[in-house]
Amino acid sequence: MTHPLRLLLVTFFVGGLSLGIEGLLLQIGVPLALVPEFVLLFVIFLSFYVASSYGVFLAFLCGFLVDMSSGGLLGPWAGSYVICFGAVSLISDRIYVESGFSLVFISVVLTLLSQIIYLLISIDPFSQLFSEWLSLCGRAMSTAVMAPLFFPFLRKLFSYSRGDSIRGRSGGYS
Amino acid sequence: MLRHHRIVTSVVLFFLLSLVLTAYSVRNPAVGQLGSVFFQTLTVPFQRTFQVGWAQVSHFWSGYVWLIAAEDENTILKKEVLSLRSEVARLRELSQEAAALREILQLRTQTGYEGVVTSVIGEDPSGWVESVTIDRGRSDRIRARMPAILGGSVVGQVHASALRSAQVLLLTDRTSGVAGLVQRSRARGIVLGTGTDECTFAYVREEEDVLVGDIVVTSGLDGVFPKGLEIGRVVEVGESSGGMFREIRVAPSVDLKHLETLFVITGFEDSGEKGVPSQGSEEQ
Repeated sequence: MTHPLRLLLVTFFVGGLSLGIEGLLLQIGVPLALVPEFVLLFVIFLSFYVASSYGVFLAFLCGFLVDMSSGGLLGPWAGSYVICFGAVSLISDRIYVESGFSLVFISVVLTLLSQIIYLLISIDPFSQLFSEWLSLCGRAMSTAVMAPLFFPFLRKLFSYSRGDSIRGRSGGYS
Repeated sequence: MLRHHRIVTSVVLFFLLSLVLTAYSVRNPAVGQLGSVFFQTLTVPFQRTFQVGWAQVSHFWSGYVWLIAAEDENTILKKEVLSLRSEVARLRELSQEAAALREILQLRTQTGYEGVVTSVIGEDPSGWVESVTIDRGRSDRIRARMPAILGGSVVGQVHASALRSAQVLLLTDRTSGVAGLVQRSRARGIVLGTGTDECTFAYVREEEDVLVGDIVVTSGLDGVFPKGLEIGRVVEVGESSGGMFREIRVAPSVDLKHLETLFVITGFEDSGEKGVPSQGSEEQ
């Protein structure tokens, strides 16, 4: 499951699936603050298991998908996810990814970080940030709650074990 | 370390690319919309699948799983249905009673007869006498030989009157007789009860014109019934067997087996003074 093309296809599949689930949750009336950011979780997953230049491209692609789905500007989410990916992948060697607690913590931090970066890139950051802070915190928490559940699914999808991930990091796709 | 450098370099490059893209899409909003259209086209099948799946789940949940309180609710609803059924039955009764009273009131207005509206409270239990008991009697000025009608048609006449009840001899009783005439040809005779559902129109002469379907009304000659009340309809006209009179059978206009309300005419002045008497009319 380490072939670049297969990774690309799976990224499209998971990205589309994640956006579909988010859209569905919003459609059935779940408040935005409680809708987890599945795409971001996937980016976090990539930053652990595909920590390479190719992983950066995949993270960019995920963000680009989100930008396209939003129908607004093309680029802010892509930039935001690239930064998030870079931040985690640089320290991924020092994080025990199998731990649910570390996943929750990283998810909370990265959700807030991605939102802030998005606001910085796209629009007037301060007014939005202060008016939407409660919603941001809600999304961060719901994303964090979903992380320990979503990761095993992704591991299964990518057929990664802990050993695979280590090998993947040492090999890389740069 | 080299890997870190590569990642940082890639991150910087892709971040710059995203900034360029953002700047470009700010200047050209159509690009963003185009991307959205493209994305929507790609994801519509997924969304539809999700939508259908969710609808199925929602249906399953609301139709099967979310039935915790259904038993209690069912019990309450059953009680409510029973209550409403009895209420409907009561209202239906009231409606029919109102219709009968309206009919009587209409007759009273049209003819100007004084009378009393009564309810039938019983029938003759022996089965030998065709009569019903009504809930009004002498205290309501009801006396023997007063005509009882329903909707402008003859039912019978008061046979005996107690203080608060009275017995009405029906048209079909063997002892009943009402002077009548054929509305069309004015042929006269007497409508006699036979103890069955039909009456005999007796004493109609051979040469009189009577056809099946003719309406027989009261002639007023008996001094009991006012003239013009409908008695019944001719159902059979037989040839005389060598005698002077024809054999005619008449079906009463009123369904005498299902009487509930009657109107007893108390203000008919000729009542009891002349005409064909009923054979057993005595006050109790």
